[in-house]
Amino acid sequence: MSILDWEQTEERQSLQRALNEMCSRSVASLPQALIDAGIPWIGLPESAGGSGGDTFDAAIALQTLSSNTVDLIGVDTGLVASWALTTHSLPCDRSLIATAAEPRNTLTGSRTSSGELLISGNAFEVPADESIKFLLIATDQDLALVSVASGTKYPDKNLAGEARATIEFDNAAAIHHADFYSGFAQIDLLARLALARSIQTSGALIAVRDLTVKYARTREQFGKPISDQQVIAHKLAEISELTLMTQAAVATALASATTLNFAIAKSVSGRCARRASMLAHQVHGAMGMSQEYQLGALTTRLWSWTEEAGRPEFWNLYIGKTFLAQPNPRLWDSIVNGMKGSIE
Amino acid sequence: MVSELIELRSQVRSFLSAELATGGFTPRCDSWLIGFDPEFSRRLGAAHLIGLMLPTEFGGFGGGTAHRLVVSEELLSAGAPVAAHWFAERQFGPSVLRHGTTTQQDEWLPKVIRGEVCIAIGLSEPDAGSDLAAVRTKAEQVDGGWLISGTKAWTSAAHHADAMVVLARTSGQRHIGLSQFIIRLPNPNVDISPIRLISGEHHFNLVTFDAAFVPDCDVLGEIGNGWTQAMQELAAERAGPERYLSTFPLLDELVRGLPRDSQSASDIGRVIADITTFRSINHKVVELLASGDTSASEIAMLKGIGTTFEQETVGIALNIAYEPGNPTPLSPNAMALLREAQYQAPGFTIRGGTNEVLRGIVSKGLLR
Repeated sequence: MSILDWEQTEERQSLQRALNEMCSRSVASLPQALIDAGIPWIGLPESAGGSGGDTFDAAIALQTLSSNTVDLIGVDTGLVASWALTTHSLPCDRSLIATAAEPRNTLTGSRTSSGELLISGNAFEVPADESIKFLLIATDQDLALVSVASGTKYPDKNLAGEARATIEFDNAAAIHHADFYSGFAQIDLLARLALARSIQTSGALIAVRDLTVKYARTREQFGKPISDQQVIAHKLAEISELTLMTQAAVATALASATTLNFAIAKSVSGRCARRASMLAHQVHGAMGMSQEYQLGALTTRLWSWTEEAGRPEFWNLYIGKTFLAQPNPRLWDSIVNGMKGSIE
Repeated sequence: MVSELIELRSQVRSFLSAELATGGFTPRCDSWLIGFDPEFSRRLGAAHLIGLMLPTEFGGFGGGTAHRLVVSEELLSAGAPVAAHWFAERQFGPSVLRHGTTTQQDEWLPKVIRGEVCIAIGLSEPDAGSDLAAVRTKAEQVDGGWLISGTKAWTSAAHHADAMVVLARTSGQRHIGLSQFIIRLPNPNVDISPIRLISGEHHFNLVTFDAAFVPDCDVLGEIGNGWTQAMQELAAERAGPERYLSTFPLLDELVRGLPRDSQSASDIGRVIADITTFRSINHKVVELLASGDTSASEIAMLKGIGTTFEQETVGIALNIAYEPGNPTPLSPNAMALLREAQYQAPGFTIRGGTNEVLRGIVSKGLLR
């Protein structure tokens, strides 16, 4: 079952099949093939140079690629950066755009007399390799597109080996910028990025679950498959529960796209990923620790994505503070009807 | 449909606030098990808030799974005392509708819907808990009916019940040798004695049948179909918000009046995130159930993760209760809810199928 079994259509199924097929023929040219097929721009209207489709379509693509541990930096462009640009009526084309929105970023903007926006400060854990030329950022009141080349890039990688750079800006002029529209805040861009990471997490968890089940039924010890051992079978069940939980949280966020629901998805998916990845390693025994085996590529991604774009603890605090900031807060009503307002 | 559900939700809320305003009930944790108040159930029935999925010809609402879910979650989150009608509404009514004779439907369904009948469900026995198919209570065919002999254990509300549905052995075959009987209570050949819980409270019973007579007209469903029927009832039992809202009235009480900078903000955030997600799974699961898929792994998974969460919320509640700076001592009401939650917590992951049994179901599905 995929998250979008909850909102599945024939078109989405065939998109999923097509992507799985592309990934199964995994070759060095896969990233380019995905770019040529317009995958990073699903969700961006064709009129804007995108590939069409909606957020659900973008989600199914991102989830499927994550299940296959495909390294394509900028794959979430349509879901995050292009969405933010177009909702702010800023121009957007068929470029790969990374989004820098980590809570510990120190980006600030200052306006020149000619109306330019100059960006200074650091952006951390930016998913930017050589293919990424543009960066979307949020200061405390502006959304801005900047050129990666206008800053100083310190390339690095996350646990999974995915490009994550620190980029330092010192009065770099934004290419485009706009005041936040009314009701939009810095946290909303971070939440959108968190949604993307949650979708990726759900994809990797599905793969972890399937891989672990497969391993447990084929690995024999004491003369029988280890899945015959009740303790192992229960671990498989627990991984499955955690995967379901993640899929449901992501499906809720997609069906009702609010910052609160994105926060919930990131909190749930990250906590589930931590637990499920350890269970999966335990079931695999030593084999899971081998670089040659597929599990590590999935779990190291899960660990990275869990800590990026706001850790579960960050979002729990955000949700809790949003709750407590309401006048006369009521728990059940907040769960059923959602919460509005800011935590400032 | 959506506006209909919003309307229904506000109807339940109005009913509950009116009840609270007039002292109609005191919120309790785990209120579907320990909140026994026949008068409340009747008032709820009179407000047409019982039997949401039962047909209108019997006085029911004739709604779908979403209607029932809205009403259930509003009642449970408010800690309303629903135990007097809960089993009748959740398991017995649907089972009579599905398997009962016209006469049985005409007799029981209107009473279930009016909240006038308390039903006990007799499944577990002293030697048949997780291994339910090991039940030994026997039904022996005699002229015009059956004689039931044996012992049922952990039977909720049997001491209040108007009738008990008993799963009994009608032949030696493990699964297809089981059948269900409606035994009217009180009955001179049925002895009901309390099994007090660690709280000292009396909710569970040991029920002994000594050749208790059940007329043929009180056989529920077909002879030999008891296992299938019981599994359908268990699926319905496992698939509801009672699997993640048992401690909710406590959490609700504790977070009222917390300062904005409370140290518990993160815990509260986690509770909101998890319950939101359980609700989303629950909506999916009741749809599966309504489509007839009673064996779906998702039902077992929801109960597994939901009840584990419920137990964890007791720790969260204690953290909030003893948060430095939180006005102490707790109000008598909050203290009562906290104690209820602590006493009831071990049972969350046991009743309705232990989490180990549920994980067995889930893993079987994965390894099939």
